[in-house]
Formats: sequence, structure tokens, C-alpha cells
Amino acid sequence: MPFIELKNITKSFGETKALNGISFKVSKGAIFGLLGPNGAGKTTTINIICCLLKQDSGEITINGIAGDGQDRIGVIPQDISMYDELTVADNLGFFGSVYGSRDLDLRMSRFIELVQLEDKFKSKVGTLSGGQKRRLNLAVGLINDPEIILMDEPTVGIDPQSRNFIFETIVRLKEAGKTIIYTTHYLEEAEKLCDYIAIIDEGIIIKEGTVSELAQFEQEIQLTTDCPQVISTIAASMGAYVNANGQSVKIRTSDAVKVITQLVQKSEGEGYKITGILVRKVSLEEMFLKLTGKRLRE
Amino acid sequence: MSKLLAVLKKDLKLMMANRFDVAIIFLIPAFTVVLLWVFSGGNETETTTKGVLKVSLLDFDSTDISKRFVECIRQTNNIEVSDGTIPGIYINSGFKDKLMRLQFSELFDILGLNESDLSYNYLRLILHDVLYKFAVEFYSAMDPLEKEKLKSQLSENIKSEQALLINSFLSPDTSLKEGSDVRKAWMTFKLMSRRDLPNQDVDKRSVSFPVYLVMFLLFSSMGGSYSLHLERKRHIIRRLILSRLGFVDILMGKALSVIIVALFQILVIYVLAFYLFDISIKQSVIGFSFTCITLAFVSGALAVLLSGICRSDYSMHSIPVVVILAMTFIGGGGITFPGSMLGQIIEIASYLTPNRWANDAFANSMWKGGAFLHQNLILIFIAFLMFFAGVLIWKRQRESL
Repeated sequence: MPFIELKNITKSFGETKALNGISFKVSKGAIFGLLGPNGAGKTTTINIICCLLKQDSGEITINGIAGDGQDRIGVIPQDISMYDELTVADNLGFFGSVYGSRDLDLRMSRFIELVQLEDKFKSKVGTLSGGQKRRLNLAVGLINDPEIILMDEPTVGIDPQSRNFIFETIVRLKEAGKTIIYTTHYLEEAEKLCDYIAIIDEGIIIKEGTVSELAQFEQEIQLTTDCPQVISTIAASMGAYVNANGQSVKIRTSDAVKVITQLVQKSEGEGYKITGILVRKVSLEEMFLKLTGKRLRE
Repeated sequence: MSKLLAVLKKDLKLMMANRFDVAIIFLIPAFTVVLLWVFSGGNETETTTKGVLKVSLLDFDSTDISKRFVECIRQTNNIEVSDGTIPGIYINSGFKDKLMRLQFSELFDILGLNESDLSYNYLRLILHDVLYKFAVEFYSAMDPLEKEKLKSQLSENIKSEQALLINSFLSPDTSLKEGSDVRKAWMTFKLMSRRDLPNQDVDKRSVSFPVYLVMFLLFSSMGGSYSLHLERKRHIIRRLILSRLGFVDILMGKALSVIIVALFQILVIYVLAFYLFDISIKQSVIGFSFTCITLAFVSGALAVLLSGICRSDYSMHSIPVVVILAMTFIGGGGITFPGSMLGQIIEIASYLTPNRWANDAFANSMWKGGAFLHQNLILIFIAFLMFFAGVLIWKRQRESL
């Protein structure tokens, strides 16, 4: 049984359909990536899961029960939403006390340690760097020690060093058994962190699977030949995606070795020559472009 | 409750986190007292209910009767008719006609008075008396037959109060004596509708003080509403809602912080006013304290309502100022703004503003004497209304936080 399940969720804002029947499942302890360009519906999905918004239709279950377990959710919002005028300790203390004062000191010290801001404990948030603020934003979102963590593009606008630190923290949270839903429009983040990815665009999930499943057209073979039409027909019959342009034929496949071997074997019988072979890995970005006709950062 | 206290503690910490803000909390009340001093005449210490009033007089009726009335005014010991000094008395055309028809209430209406000064009430009372004496003498000198003719000409649809007065004037035993029927009838004739006179000598500043205090406290709600606006702008409200904190907790916490600061500021203003101008609570300390608390509640609730209404920087910087000034204009009465500008509609509309009730309750508690409970109950009702309207507006914005 999936830990979190969304079934046919729809949500409209006036005339605009933000979500148009989204469904996905998240296993316990996994990092689930929701990948899509701006305006795809990622934040709306997060807002519905954490109950800020109410879906027009559809159902969300946590551990098989609808409308249950909301208290087990922690949200790391896209924006750094804290009080700049207060200290790190005051912010953590306030947001922590909202969930009750039990074990508050323990929770505060645990999460401030996790994001390594112990030396900034008494500093005002306004004096922290952008990366430090992002880390504190993470700690504030975790202060209720949630089982489910919803991260809405938590690395927007930070330096690579801080980004790597956040990645490491996410991995540590996963190791601690947390279930994470991570939205991003950075493919490399999704590839690096997520066990399972759903690609969302215009409120619809257009593709989902593990990183390797999604990359079934992972390799691109670029052949130079005197007879591109014949090669295109043979490659297409093998289930590959083919695009011929002049003397060049681009073939996308998950098994490049098999395709090349067969094309070479058939070249004598079919009477064509292969004069050049180039094989490269296809990125998720290209796959996204193929699926949606747009780039992720549009 | 613990969540509410957490929000309140955070809001007080936020207020104290900025030294400039703390200084403002001290300085603005002091500035208000200076304003009170400047607008109430600086070093002048004139009282409003005794002495000779220097007034200008314009007789637009210019009839033999109106001229006789002017002479009566000149003969009083309390009014010195002079040129170009305000406030003024305007005897509008129709004075004689009204007098002949014994339309006393309308008669008073055509005596245009400049209401921009506190002396207005005093002047009105004197004129009330002068007109009474004038009317008595006028009707006494009238031929009995003429009296009967006049009586029969009068409309039958006259209110009983007015009929009694007319009959008294037209009866043969018309008397000027205190306690006489005609005198009693005249005194019950309610001409002093706008503001009653104080029952003792009152310093102008004591009268102005409540108006300034109320206006200041409503302005102090802007701090709370701006703070909520900032939290919305920084998406903190969204985060708080996600942390299972309800709108009522968030907004009540903010309102409470406004209330605490408002009470502290009242204390600063009152202590300064007491030492600088000798403004004291002559009637009811309980009434004054109660009104301070209820007004602070109104201020907190107003902060919530304004923050709900104003969703952009521009509206946040403009709407609260306009709303508070308008409420002061409508509910503050003729003390802050010329009463001559306040028509009857505004007079009625003033009952919808907290200023009106707070001003009344403060005035009654401080110098005038009188009830303060019902005004405070209305203030509490207004505070609840504003707060829950604010909560409702915020809840409707949940999806766009």
C-alpha cells in the first residue's frame, strides 16, 4: 500500500485549470520528485497535500486514510518566510511553539544542528546570508519533526555550495526514514535526489517512473550514412525513435549496442554504408522538451 | 491558548526588536500631546463657559422685530457684539415671520451660529435665554384680540410640547419667573441637541483631549495592520496557516499586541497631559479606564480589519489614513472640525463610528459627567464586529496567501 496517494485531483482558479486529474503514489521513506516548468501545477499540488488549498475533486490518502495525518506533514516553502527582525532562536522557538511546547528545546537543538547553524543561534535572521536563510527555512519547516516533508523548490536562488548542503540534508532526512515530496524545475536535482519522478505540465502528469524508467530513451545514436531512409525503417522497426535529416539519422533508444549491432549486420544485405557513429546520453531535459514541446525553465 | 500566547509573545518581541520602533512608541504619544497643546491655543488658558463672549452679529432679516432682538442681545451681560470676531450670530431672513407664527424650533434654526468653537454651546444657551425673554416681552405686549387671532391661525397639527408652549405664551399670565409654566415649557423645548454644556468650568484642552486621544489610538492601529501586511507579503501567514495555526489565533495575537501597546500609549499621553496641562479625570476614573480598554480593543480590531482590506503596499499606505481621518471627521464632531460643516446626515452617521461613542464616554468620564457604560458596550460591539469582519476577509484570502 502506498504511503501517500493522490487520486484524480482537480483544482481550478476561476477559469484556469491548475490541476486536471493528477494521480500519483509515494512509497514510505522515498523521495518523490515533482518535475515541471513554472506554472505547471507543482505548488498547487503541494498546497493541496498540506491542506492550504482544497481540491475541487479527487482524494488524498495518507497511509490509506483520507484526510488523516496532516499533523505529520512539514512544509518547506519556496519563499524564505521568517521574521528577519528576530533571531534564529526566536524564529525556531516561535514556529516550534505553534506545534506545542513539548520537547521544544530538544527539537530546536536537533534541527539547528542538522542545518549547521549552531553558531548563528543568537543572530538576527536579517543578518544571515541567502544560503544560511535557506538552511534555516529548512529547519523551521522540520521543527515539528514530520514524517512527511513537502519541499517546494527549496534551492531556488542559492549558491552551489548551499545547494549541495541542502541535498546532503535531504539525503540524511531520507536515511532517517522521512518521506519526501520534492518539487523542482532543475532536472539534475530530480535525477540526483529522487527515487521516483512525475513530470507535470499544465496540470497533468505526462510521464512518471524511476529515473532509469524515464530515461528509457536514454541514448542517442547519430549515424552518418548514404542511405538514411533504409536505416530509419530498420531502426523504427526495432521500436526506436528516429529522426532523419539529410545524410544524418538520429536514433533514440534504451539499448544502443543492440541497435548498432543489428544495423551493422544488416548493412551488407541491405546495401548501405555507415560512415560515422556517435553515441551520447540523452538528458531528462531533452526528454521533457520532446514530451511537452517546452523547456523546463520557461 | 498556548498558541495565542506564542503569537502574542512573538509580536511583542517583533515590536521590541527594532529600537526605532520602540522609540516611536514613546515619541508619538508625546507628539500627540504637543499637537493638543498647539491646537488648543498654546499658552492660553481660557475656559469656555464663563465670561463675556465677543461675537460678530449679522442681521439678514433686518425687520423691526429682528432689530429689537439685536438690542436684547446687546443688553445681555454675557455677549459683547463686535465686528469681525468669531463666533458669529447670523439672524437669517424670516426671523420675524417665524416669531409671528410661534415656530420656535425653526426660529432657533435660523439663528445661524458658528459652531467651530467650544463657546458655541455657551452662546447657544445665552441666546436661548435671550430669545425666551424677548418672546415673553413680545407676546405680553401683544393686544389680547390679536393674540386670539394668532392662536386661531395656528395649525392644529402642532406637537403637544410645542402646543403647550404656544398656549403658555398666548395665555394672559405669561411670566418670566423661574418655575412658571411658560418658563418650564420653554426649558423642556429641546434645542440643545448637539452637545450639552458642561456643568462646570472646563479648560478647552480637557474638552479636546478625548478627541485627540481617540484619533491617536485609532492611528496606532496602523502599526498592527502594517505588521500583518508585512507577514502576508513575506508569506509568513501562509506558513503559519500550514502549521495548523488558525486565522483567529494569528489575528487575535496581533490584535492583543496592538491593545497592549495602545494601553501603554494612553498611559504616556495621559501622564504627559496631566503634568503639562493639568488635565485630570474629574468625573469617573473607572469610566475613563474602562473606555481606555474598550477603545484599545477597537484599535486592535481595526488593525485586523484594515490588514484584511489592504492587500497592496499602496492601499496599506493610503486607506487606513483616509478611514481613520474620516471616522475622526464624522465621529469627532465640531471640536476637531467646524460643526457648521456637519449636516444632520453626518450627525447621524457619527453613531456608526467608534469615535463618537469613545468621545462621549471619555467626555462624560473626564469633565462632563454622565453615563459611560452604554457607550462602552457599543464600543465592545464595534470591536467584535470589526475583528470578525477582518477574520472573515482574511479567510477568504486563504487561497491567495
